[in-house]
Amino acid sequence: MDFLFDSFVSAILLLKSLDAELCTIVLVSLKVSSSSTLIASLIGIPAGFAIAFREFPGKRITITILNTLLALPTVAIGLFVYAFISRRGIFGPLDLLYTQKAIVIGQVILIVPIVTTFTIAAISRIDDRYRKSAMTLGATTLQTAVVIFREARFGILAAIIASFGRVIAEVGISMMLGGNAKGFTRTMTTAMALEYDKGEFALAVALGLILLSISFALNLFFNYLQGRTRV
Amino acid sequence: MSTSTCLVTEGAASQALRYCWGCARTNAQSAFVNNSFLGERIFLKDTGNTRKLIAALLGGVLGVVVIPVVSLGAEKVIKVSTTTSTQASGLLDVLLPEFTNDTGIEVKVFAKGTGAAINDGMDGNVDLIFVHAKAREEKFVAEGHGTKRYAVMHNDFVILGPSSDPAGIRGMEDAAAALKKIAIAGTKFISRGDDSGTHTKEQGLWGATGLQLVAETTTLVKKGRETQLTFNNPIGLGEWYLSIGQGMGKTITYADEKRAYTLSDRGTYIKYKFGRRKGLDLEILCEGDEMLHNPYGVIPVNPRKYPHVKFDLADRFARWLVSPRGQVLIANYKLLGKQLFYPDAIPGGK
Amino acid sequence: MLFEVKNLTKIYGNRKVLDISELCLEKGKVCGLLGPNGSGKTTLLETLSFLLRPTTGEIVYDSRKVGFSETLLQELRREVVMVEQQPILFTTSAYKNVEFGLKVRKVPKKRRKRIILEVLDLVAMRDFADASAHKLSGGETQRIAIARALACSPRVI
Repeated sequence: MDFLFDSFVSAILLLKSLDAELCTIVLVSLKVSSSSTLIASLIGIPAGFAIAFREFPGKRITITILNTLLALPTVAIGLFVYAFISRRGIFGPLDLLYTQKAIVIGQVILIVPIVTTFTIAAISRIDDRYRKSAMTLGATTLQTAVVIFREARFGILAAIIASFGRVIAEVGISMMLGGNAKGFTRTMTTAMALEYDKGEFALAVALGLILLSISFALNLFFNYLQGRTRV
Repeated sequence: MSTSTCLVTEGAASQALRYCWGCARTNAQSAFVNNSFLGERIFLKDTGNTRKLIAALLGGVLGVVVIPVVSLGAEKVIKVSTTTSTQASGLLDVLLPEFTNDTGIEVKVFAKGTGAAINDGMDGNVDLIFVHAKAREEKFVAEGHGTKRYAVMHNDFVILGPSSDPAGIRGMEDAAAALKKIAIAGTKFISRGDDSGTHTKEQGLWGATGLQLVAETTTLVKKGRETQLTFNNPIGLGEWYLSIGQGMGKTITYADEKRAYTLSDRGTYIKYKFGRRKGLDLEILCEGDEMLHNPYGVIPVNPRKYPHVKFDLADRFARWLVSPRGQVLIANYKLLGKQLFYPDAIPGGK
Repeated sequence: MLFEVKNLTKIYGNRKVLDISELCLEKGKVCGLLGPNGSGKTTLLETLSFLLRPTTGEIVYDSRKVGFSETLLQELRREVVMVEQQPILFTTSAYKNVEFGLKVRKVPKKRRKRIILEVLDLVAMRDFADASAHKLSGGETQRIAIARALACSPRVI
């Protein structure tokens, strides 16, 4: 237990001194994760809407495929994207590999299925009478969609929170595509992996504690948002 | 509009209620059911994930600490922590079966950076360490963590770079001068940055360039006392100097991808350059400097510090490595026709 | 005749829910519809308020034959509003619920307010204008739903 105690004290020391390296790591993590969550939401929410809202052949199989993609391991996505953006890949000339953009690309692929399926679930749980009420009151398709979006907003916010939690905690993509370059693409999770490799468990655990506190703070914030929008 | 009336007996009502309740419950759960397989659940449920994360984290930490201590109760098995270079070069794949053949002792290998390997020794997680950072090894013995350092062999480091050589260091012999040229040109340089032997060597070389270095110090608490970790790197971290904290093979691939310079041991380089179908663009641009010399040592962990280590078996392995039998095997080991390691314990091995 | 329906059927899967050979509804009348559970009352009403497309048959509304393209149906829905048996209100205030149909119809804000207060008076719910819709009782919900429909001044309700 000495070891846990040491780690805890180290974490507090690091936080208290606002260690410059630690700050960079946390900022990189937040920047990358929020970018990918934002982009994935812009893709996933409309996609979820389109799938939930209309009937088309292959709808069920589409949902099954999306559910399967939820189980996609991060290393598989990492490899896949790597093959495309490596210097020998199709997008090699763009020099994307080992940049923050590369991490964002991988993470977007990781969480688009999460946002989409959660959005579908949120919308399907909305009573069909909302749709009918809006339509009978003369709403256009778009206006009806807005009504349903409003009614499903808690579920959709949950989709965003879940996705953010997934990306800020993932390590495979950040490591393979970001490359863990200090001060540039080193995120909280890759830093933890590295400190573990170096045998500096205390620093790894300290980072873990910080990661937890950040997730906790963010969840409090989202919780507050959800509470506030509830009429 | 009509409404239908129905008469329900008591039993039927409760059954109907139970049925409805069942439906409601199934609906509520179905949102998560699809997502919850394969352990992805932690991140998908937004309630309670904090608690689960803590549990997972604690579990992970305990696993790390406990497993190496309790496992491997069997006789005649020793554990060695070594550097990635001995493993990646393929040398151990030749040495270990021969050793097991000779003595019946099995060796389990944990390959990591030299820093982590030494830490393993200090924590008594392994029976001996086989690393390459002479000064730190001597400190390890001096502090009583190990019994004796056996000088086993050496190879050398080389500075790699893209064949286009934008910094123009090809053919230079002075390693420090070559690094200085890279820094002044501002071309990308990839550093292991993982506290390994190669990283230690690299920091030493940067020190020899006379360039201004940035020291980064992190304060940690170990065994109740504050200790400090310091790393040196030239100015330009995150711009041209990338510290990636990964093993040698990964660092070489990284440098190849980024058309950057890096410091590598010769063995791993040869393995990556010639041992794969899709070779490397990287070439050896600077070699031969005395400072690039890379000695390997093996140290059994001190049984007086950790009575549970299998000192006798570990010491036998160490002595076997420096015996003529081990030394000849090392000298004869060739990777793709090239000798990688030069034995240090028998005269004329060089 | 406001509605003339001929040979109307609606099939869900392999279940025939509606099969009406002829039905005429006059202007200015209140009509009642009776039938046991699952006999298709709601389906018929939803078809007549242009929320559902029939499987076969034709509807003549106000002596115009109804084509079933979405844009055409949207036009027609502006004249016919349905209030459900158990209406559902949008999760916002009662006032905003009533406002919805008017907003959709792009009624200017000032007129909107006048109409809303008028219909809320009509159902005696003016005091509840700022109440959260989902906190209303069943009867109150019913009344707001009617007010919401009336605000659109439809030809058929």
